Amino acid sequence: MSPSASLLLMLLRVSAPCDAQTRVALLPFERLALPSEDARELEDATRRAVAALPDACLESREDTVARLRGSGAALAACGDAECRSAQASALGVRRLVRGVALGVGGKRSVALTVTDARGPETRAQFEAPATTPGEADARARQALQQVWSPLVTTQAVRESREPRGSRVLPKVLWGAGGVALLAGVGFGVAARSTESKLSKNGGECATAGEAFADCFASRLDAGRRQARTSNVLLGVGALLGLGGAVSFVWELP
Amino acid sequence: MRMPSHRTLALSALLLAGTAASAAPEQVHYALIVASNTGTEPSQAPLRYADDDGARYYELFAPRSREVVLLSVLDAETQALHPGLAAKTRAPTHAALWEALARLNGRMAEDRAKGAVPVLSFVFVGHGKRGAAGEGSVSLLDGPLTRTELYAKVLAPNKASFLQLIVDACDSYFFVHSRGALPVGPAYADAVKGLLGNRELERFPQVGVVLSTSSEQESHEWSAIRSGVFSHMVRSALSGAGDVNGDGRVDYAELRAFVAAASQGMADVRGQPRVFIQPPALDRAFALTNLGDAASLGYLLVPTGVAGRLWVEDARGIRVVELHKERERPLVVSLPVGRGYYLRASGREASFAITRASEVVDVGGLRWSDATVAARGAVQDAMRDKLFSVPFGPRFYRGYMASLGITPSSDEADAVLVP
Repeated sequence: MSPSASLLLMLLRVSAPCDAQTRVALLPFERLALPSEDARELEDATRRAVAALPDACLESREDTVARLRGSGAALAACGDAECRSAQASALGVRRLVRGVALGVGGKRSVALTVTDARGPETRAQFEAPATTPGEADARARQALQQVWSPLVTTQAVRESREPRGSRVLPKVLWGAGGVALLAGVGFGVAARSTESKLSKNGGECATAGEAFADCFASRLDAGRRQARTSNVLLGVGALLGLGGAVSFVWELP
Repeated sequence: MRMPSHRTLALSALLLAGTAASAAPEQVHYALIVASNTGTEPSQAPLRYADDDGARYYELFAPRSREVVLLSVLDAETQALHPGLAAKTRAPTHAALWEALARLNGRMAEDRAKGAVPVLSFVFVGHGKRGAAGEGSVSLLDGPLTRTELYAKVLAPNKASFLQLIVDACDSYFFVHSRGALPVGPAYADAVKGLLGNRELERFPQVGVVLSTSSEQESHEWSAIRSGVFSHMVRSALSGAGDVNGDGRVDYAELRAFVAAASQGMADVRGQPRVFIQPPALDRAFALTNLGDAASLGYLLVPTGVAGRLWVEDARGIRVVELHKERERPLVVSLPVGRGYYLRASGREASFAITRASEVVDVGGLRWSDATVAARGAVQDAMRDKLFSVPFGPRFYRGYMASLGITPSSDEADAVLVP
């Protein structure tokens, strides 16, 4: 995914509210032996890589910084994973991503720590040559993919994408049933019209002469077919309506 | 007239910046290490670990230097610990010293002609004394290297743009292996003053000085580290433990504060190291080492949250780096490549390996276990408890500098987080 596409995706996600299940915060990187501009570049590359993960809802840097300030400056320096996990919970995020950007040995690299509020802590590293544009993004994505376990299960993903109570099926059934009922009424009206015409001296067949009998029989058959179609459609409509009601009750949360 | 667009201006700025960056002169590092266990006076008992210190300074400087010269006679134990190194050494004699200096000066003159900035680290580990006439000297194998010779034959003709003079020489060099009766002779502090008269030093603004001006009462070799204590502190600091502001450079002020913190707890132990550290007058922010430079080294990242006294021993049992870290900021130390290591703390240890250059090992990812190595003896306990007992970091640094009335030239202690 290109950086611009990642950015767009990130913006779209930022515009939508994150839930506690998928919210991820990336703390401003620490840096060692690296100018702040380079460190910020590596942090941004990592941010784009996190934002591109399928189930991560990444908090914006501004929001994260504001929340850190609101919570009384920087997070306390935890010495173990349990403490860091508790910090993630306190911040209301599912995962905290920390990073140290290094410029040692003439190379740029990043050491990442991913802390899950409910699970284990994982670590990853990547090198990011300054000479190759876009390389940092690719390396960051690769490093994160190695340590990023899915935030939610497949079932949970399905549920989150098709939430229980969306009532799509009842609506479809009711819609189809309504269409069937309307069509059934239409055919019923047509059958009644045919019947009334034939009852008045044979209707259109009155002028048929010797072919009166054939004409009358033909019109009579057409009326019967309309009546039968109407009955079937009304029945189907009723069944679909009933199905819609059943599925509506079934999908109640 | 059409004004240049923002894009054009930005491109021009980038080009200018790139030109400026590429025009920055390259630093080229050399090291000349003289380490001698032997004294020139009968009263000077042979040292045990000066040659070990020389070998370790060699290992410290070699990965980041174009050429390193070691003048030392390594004893059997040291040769066993550093296989192959003896073949690269020469005896610490006057002749070998002048020859090495002549060759290095030739190379540094070539570097200067090419526009580079040659930097020479001149290290001496061994005995020091002050003569009857008040002239200080340090001991080479074939006689003393006097102050007069230092200025006339080492500093004056030197072609280095910057020269870093590191001297760990004391005529009472023992601590653990004290001989009971104290050596007879003048105070080493006086010897140092005799060796380097301040007025004479002013004539060499490119020279920075790191001296152990230790008490004349006891020495500072410690068998647990097979090294002089002062040199152990200096090497630890230069490995990166002294980088208080996270900029990857260890300058003279940081080294001074690091040594002060590391030895502060030893106030009740005889022979607390005292130091004289002075940056080059030409550039007081000049760094003794820069972790950002390309070098065939690996790196150990000690992240925020990890605190306390830590030391790294390699597979040979040599304590390479030692530090006492404050919790609030990360730290990185450089280590030679191709070795297994143990990171040790009080009662626990974690093993790791550096297999390739630029490899970064994150301490946060190491598996700790109960330590299997214990120190021996009461004196070792004293050193173990007192050395590096005070945390070193921005808090100590600021307080220490304030106590000296010094404004640090590069106080970026709060700039670790990316703005």
